[in-house]
Amino acid sequence: MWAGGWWCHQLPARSPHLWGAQLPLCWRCAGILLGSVALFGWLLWKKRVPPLRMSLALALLLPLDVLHAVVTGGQGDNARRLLTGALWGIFGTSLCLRFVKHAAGRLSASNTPART
Amino acid sequence: MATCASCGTNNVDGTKFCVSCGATLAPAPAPESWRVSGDLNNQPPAAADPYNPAGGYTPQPPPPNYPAYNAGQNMTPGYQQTPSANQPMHPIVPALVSFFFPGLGLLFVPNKAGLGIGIFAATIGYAIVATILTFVVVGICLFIAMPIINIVAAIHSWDEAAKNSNGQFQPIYFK
Repeated sequence: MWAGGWWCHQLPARSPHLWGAQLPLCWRCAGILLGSVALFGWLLWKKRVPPLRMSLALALLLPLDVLHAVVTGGQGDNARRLLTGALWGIFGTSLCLRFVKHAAGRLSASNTPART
Repeated sequence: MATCASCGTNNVDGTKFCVSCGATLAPAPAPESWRVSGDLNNQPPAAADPYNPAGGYTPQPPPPNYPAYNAGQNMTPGYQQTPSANQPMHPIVPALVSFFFPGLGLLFVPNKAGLGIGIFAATIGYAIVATILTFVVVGICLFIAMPIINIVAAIHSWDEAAKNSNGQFQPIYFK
């Protein structure tokens, strides 16, 4: 549980239970983790990330879900948390990889002395 | 002892002139081992050698239990070699370490320890900022990026380890 506490609020009402014991990650964080691991497997297989526009569109579903819950004060449901978490895990990781690669490319280009 | 040819006096080995008459002494014969290895013209004929019936010097092949020498290869005595010598580490090891402790997997990659420690420190800083901002709600949004940071750090460590494996493993994204 302490390892999951690094990431997750671990609210019992929003966490999966197995044989009466609460699992260390809530539904949303479990979805994020599973989605990230799925993207890792996809990268090992295909060696490329999903398209940028699709990643942007599907990754934004989680912030929209969170915003909807905050605005309406609704409880939401755990299936939606798991689904939007998984999409964020896949496509948010894809966006983050693109950003890191772009930033690393710019950094190495600025460190390379220009030819005269 | 070197005997002088002029007066017959016995002189100590190695002297060049006779201590009695001052005549020049003949040089003492070289040791047998020196003559065998250094004076090739006085070698016995090698007619008995079936590989070189004309005689002369024949290079001898090394004994069969000697390892073949390859220029540029780091020759290490057999008793110092380990099964993992020259074997690059599988990238899954730094990837797993970086998944749980972002960046620290780079400690297993040569010349990347500084970058790994920097990534780890940045992650700790990000988590501290997110924890502080939790009290003003925004931090929750920052925490949903934490698993992503871990998996991105794992992929980055995998690729750095693969790039240092001399082509044995392939990087998957950061080529």
